[in-house]
Parts: sequence; C-alpha cells; structure tokens
Amino acid sequence: MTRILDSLLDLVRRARLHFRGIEFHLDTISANTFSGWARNSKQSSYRPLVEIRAGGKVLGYSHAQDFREDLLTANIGDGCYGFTVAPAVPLDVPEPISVDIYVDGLKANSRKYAVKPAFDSAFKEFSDHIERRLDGLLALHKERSDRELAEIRKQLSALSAK
Amino acid sequence: MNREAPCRAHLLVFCPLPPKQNGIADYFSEQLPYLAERYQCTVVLEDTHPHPIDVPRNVLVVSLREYLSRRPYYANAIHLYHVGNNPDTRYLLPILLTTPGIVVIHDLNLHHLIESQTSRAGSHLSYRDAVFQQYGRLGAIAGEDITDTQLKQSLTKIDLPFNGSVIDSAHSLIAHSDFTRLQIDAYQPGKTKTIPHHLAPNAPAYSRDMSEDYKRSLELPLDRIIIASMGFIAKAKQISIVLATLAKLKSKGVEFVYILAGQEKAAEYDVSAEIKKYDLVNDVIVTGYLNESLFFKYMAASDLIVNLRYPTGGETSGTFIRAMGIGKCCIIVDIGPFSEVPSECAVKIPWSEHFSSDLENRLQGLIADRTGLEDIGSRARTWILETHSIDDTISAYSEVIDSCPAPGQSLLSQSWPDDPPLRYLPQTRIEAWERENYDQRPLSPHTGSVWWRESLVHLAETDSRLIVIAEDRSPNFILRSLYNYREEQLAFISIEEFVSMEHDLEFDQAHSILAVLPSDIFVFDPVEMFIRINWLSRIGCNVAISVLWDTHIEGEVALSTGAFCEYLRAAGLMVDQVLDGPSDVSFFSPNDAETIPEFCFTSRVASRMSDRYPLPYYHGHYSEAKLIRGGNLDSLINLPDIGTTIPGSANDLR
Repeated sequence: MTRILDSLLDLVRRARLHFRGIEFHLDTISANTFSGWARNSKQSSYRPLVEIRAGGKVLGYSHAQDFREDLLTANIGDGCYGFTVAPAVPLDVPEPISVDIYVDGLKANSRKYAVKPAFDSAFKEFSDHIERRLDGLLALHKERSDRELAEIRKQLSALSAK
Repeated sequence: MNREAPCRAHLLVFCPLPPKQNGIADYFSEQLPYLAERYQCTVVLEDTHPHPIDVPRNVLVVSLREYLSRRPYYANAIHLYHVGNNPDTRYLLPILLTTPGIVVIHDLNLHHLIESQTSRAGSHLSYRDAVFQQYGRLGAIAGEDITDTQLKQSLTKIDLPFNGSVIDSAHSLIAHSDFTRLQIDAYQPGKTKTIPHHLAPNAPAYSRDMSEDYKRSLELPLDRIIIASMGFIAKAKQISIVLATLAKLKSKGVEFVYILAGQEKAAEYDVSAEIKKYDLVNDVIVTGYLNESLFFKYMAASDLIVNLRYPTGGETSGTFIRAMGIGKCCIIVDIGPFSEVPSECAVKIPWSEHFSSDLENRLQGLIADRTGLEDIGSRARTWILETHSIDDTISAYSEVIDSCPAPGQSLLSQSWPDDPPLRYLPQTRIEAWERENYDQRPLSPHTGSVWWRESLVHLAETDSRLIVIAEDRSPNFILRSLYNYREEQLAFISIEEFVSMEHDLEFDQAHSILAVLPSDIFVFDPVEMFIRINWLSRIGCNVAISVLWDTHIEGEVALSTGAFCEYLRAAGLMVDQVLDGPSDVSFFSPNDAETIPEFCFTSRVASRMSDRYPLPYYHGHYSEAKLIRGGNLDSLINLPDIGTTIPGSANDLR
C-alpha cells in the first residue's frame, strides 16, 4: 500500500516538474557536494534555483548557471545550466541527515539523500590554517636567521681584515 | 673622571620614573643624576604618571601634554627614548616614530608594547596594519590568530618581535648587549652601540661581608643555605623548574631556604599553588614587592641567586648585574645576553632537554662547595666593577648623545605632516576633457584607459613627483593635459629598464607611481615585478597599476585578478581597489587603447617584507620571506632636479 502511494506521489512530482518545463539531472554526490544541471525548457535564458533542504530548512542553494561544455555539445540550450551545491550540515548533528533537492521550489528527487557533517573539510580547513601560519613563521624565521648570519660573517671578515 | 660637560646641551628624555614599578624606571632613575651633570635634562612622562620621586633638582619634569603643546620649543633638544616591552613606555611611541632621536632598547622583542598600543587598545585594524607593515603578508597570516580569534599565542609573540619601526625611526640606538646589537645590525647596520647595563651606584654599599647581619635582621636561618630569585615572579623566570629541582634536593636531605623576592604575577603564574604542589611551604618565602633597601638586603643575605630567563626577549637583567656587583654567585641560562658573561663569573647552564637535571646537579654541587660559590661571586664582582661602572656607561652615553643632532624645526614640520590631502579629479571633469581633447588625438595602445578615466592618479600639486613606468611616454600626455602635471614632475622608466633593474643600487623613494604594464612581464614571476615597484617607493607611496591584458598569454603561475591581489600583498603592497576595463568604449574613437582588456589596482606600499612564494604560485610550496632593500636609480630614471628632494631616505632601509 505504502509502495503504491509512494509511486503515485512520485508520479505527481514528475508531472509538476514537467508542466513547469523543468529538466533536472543529478550527476555526482561526493563529500556532501551535489552537482548536476537544471533548466527550464520553456525559458532557455532562465537559470533555476537549486536548493538542498532538510525538512523545511535550506542547507544550501545555488542558481544553475555554470557553463558546461557537455551540455552545449548535447544541444541543451547555451550550456549554462550547471550547478554545484555544498549543503552546510551543522557539525553538532551526530547522525547523517536526509535531504531533498528542490528546483524552483519543486521537489526534484525521488529518493532522499543522506549527508553527514563535513568533519573532514572542517579539519582540513583547520590544518590548512595551521600549516599556513607555521609556514609564514618559518619563512620569517629563516629570513631573520639568514640576515643575522650574513651580519656575523660580515663582522668576522671585518675583524680578520684588521 | 671629569663630569663637567663642555656645553650643556638640552637632553629630552622619554622614560617612566619611580614610583612606577618597572626595571626601566629604576634604571633611568639611577642614571638621571649623572646625565643631569652633563646635560640640561628634561624628562617627559605620560600624562597619567604618578608624581615622580627622587628627581634631581636640576631636572625638569613635564607631562606629554605639556611637551606636545610646546613642541617647537623642544626642537633643538636631543630626544632620547627608553623603550621596553611593557605598556609603561607606549606613550612615547607616537613621538619616537615621528621624531628621530636616540633609542635605548631595553627589550629586543616589543610585541607586547605594540599590541598594547593597538589590539589591546581596541584597535585590531591598527594591529593588523602594524603586523603587515613589519612582516608583510606572511606576518599578517602568522599574526591573524591575535586579531581574528583573540587567541594569545606566545609562539607568535616570540617570533614577531615588532622592533623594525622603532629601529627605522631611530637616529641611533643603544643596546645593553652585543646579542641585541647584532640583531639590530642585521636589520640596519651601523646604528647601534653596545653600552653595558650599569651597576646600580648604591649596590656596592650592600656588602657580601655583611651577609650574616642581613640574615639576622630579616630573620633568616643562619644554618641553611639561602637561595633567592629576585624581581617579578614571572613565567619566563622558570620558577617552576627551580621549585621542582629544590623538591628533589629536599628529598635527598638537602636543607635550604628559597626566597622569591618580588611581586607575584598571579594572572600569569600561580606560584603559591606550585609551592604547595612540591610540598615546599616551609622552605619557600614569597616576600611580595620590596622597596629598594629591602630588595638589596635580601639579595645581600642570599648565598646563591638563581636568575633564569627562558625564552629571552633580548633583555639584560638589572637584578643580575646588581647581584654580581655585590659578589653573589648566580645561576643563569646560557642564552642571549646572558651568554656574554664570562664563564668563570657565573654558573651558565645551556637550555636543553636535560636542563632540569643539569640544574639539580649544579645546585647540589654549589651547596656542597661554599668556597667555590664564593670564588665565583668574587670574580663576578671584579668583572662587573671593571666593565659596568656607571661613570663608564655615562661616558659612553655622552658619546652617542653628542653625536646625535637635535630634530630641528625642519624635522618637526616633517614629522607632523601638514601636507594637504591628495586631490582627485571628479568624473564630470574627466568626461568634459574627453569630449574636448581625447577623441581628437589618437593614443598609443600602451596608454591604458582605466587609470585616467577612473581618476586613480591624484592631481599634481606644486611639489608632486610621479614615476611613470610604461612602454612609452604616452601616459604623460594625459597626465599633463588632464592631471596638471608639468613634464619636469614626471620621471619615466621604460618597461625594458624596469624588468632589468638590479637590486643593489640606491634611489630616492617616490610618493606616487603610475605603472602601465603589459601582461607578458608577469608570466614567470609577478611578485618580483611588484617588488620592483616597492623598491622604488617610500612607505605609504600611492601606486596605480594598470595591466594591459594580452588574452593569448599563458602564465607559469595563476594570473587571475584574485591571484594578482595576493602577489601585490606578497610584495608588501596593500590593495585598495581592483577595477577592470575598458570602462567605456566609443565606437567612433580613433584610439586603440580603449579596446585592450585592462586590470587596474590601486595600492599603498605598506611593508618592506616580501614573500617570494605566495600560495597561488605553487600549492604546497613553502613561503620565502625577504627584506626589500633599496637601490639608486639615478642612472635609470629621467627625473630632472626641480629643487626639492623626495622625503624619505634609502638609509631607512639599509
């Protein structure tokens, strides 16, 4: 019974997208990043809004406006319909959360996707920051040491010249 | 020793005085009577300074406010500044940075001082500017924890000593150790003289022979060795290691009394908790702040002084000099200025992973060998009396003071700039000029268009000079016709000369630069090109850069506008505006110049520290900091003499 109801709801979802002229394709989901393309076939210069939502909350959005050569080659309008959205998942959420993709306010996915807090990227950012800071300090240290060494050499050669 | 000066020059000294509880105030207070015999001395104090005590009668004391209100009166006085890494000397910074004089540098690391003047005073932006000015882009990255997150990173503070602006501004400097002088010489050679920290004139009155009398008067036991650490109880004095070591000695049956003769800094280091932790409550005395007489009595009553400092900010310990001067054996860390003490005059322990056990062994040995301990003290006293007498140090001061010019009226007017603000053309004027002139005369494609259309160059003033770097002299037409420059105000450097400049020449640094550059010179090393602009400029120089873009070029490195901003920062230039063009295209114009894509940047030269390998170059490549030093471009630039010189000298950087 549930399965039949889900199928019906999915049919309604597809119909609503079709009547609005929305074409949508999700290409990749990696490290909590959603990429694909979306357009409105009735208005080729229009760039739809793609949102990632968890319940009623928007975790990330982008207009589908990135140029993609593959779309142009496939004669899909001017090719400027690509999108990449990285939803901001709160770090304090312990379990993966289910999200949906909306295009211009209409749900576009048939099944839910699970995303996890991006601990890896947070740690990467932190480690990058520390690395940059230490790199800067080391470079300044080296510059100072080189200068002092050059000065010592200069003073020693002045002494030996005497 | 003849203390009569041939003529009593006016000496204006910026330094706190007692009752301020800091070592610099004590140092200067001891020195002041001697200086006052040779010079007409005026001391300038912070407006909120408590009433100074023990000031000689022939010395005038004024507040900073009084000094500022009568500044021209002091123009012929030699300015002498005592700078240390604490907020008590921050009031003198604005004067020091604008009025050249003699700087007595008590601490090489001035991070805390600069921080107290900027971010701790609520201005994180000033701190960020200061750190960029001193250390460029890399320093700004390293220091961003303090500005962005308020995180106190002692590592950053040690690594960014912030003394460059003080050294730049000084006519000459006095350091208390060769360690400090060498580090300043490595930044600016030949400006600094080492004058040892004097022995306090009243120290010899506290004789080592009266040690037992002092012990009795202070109710200290006669049958146990008295070990002392003198002065503020700060973390850098490594009291924690001393307490741990003494606890070990106690467990071996060694009896002692350890005196911490100074004020606690509870917020920095909780010494009471440590004493309890090591079960030394009955063996340690914490005296709190002591007046001078009691301070010397505790010192004279002690058998052994432990005077550890790690890390060092290049400071010389006045307490250590006093202790050696009254014949005490001292244990020190073999680091920085302390390493300069002869090995036979103090017990020097290298800082290593074995420091704690080394300290334990040396302490145990010294406690068992009282004669050896006294011998070291005797040698220390002899050395200090021979090399650190106040008569000798004052004579050395006099040599420096007598060779320093007073700032004079001209320098005062320069140090408080009354230049009018720079004027820029309104858009309507530019458009009107364009209608009348521009379309009538074809311009070279090397002229660029955004820089003049968007008014990125300031209008000429009577004494303005502008360096123009371009493929040809075509920008000069617009500068003359629209921006009111006379031909003799414009110095020209061709692109060929610009890219082949050598770095060991001298030059007069410019106030303003216009660079209209082809993009192909940036293909290999854009930072190097921008460093050349820094090299031509004085700090604060306004730079308008127009990059004429050849869309066919491919760089060895990233060449986006964002990457260019990073390159400019890496070369010490602070970016104000980024524009791209052409900003307006007329289909009827005879000019090719306005069809060429163009990126424009306005920036100020803010730092002499460059980063040769910023991140956009090669991901993962390590940065390389270099100090930018100037050169002489007389042979390169065609700059006729119009009777005035551009203020700011190459000496500031050498």
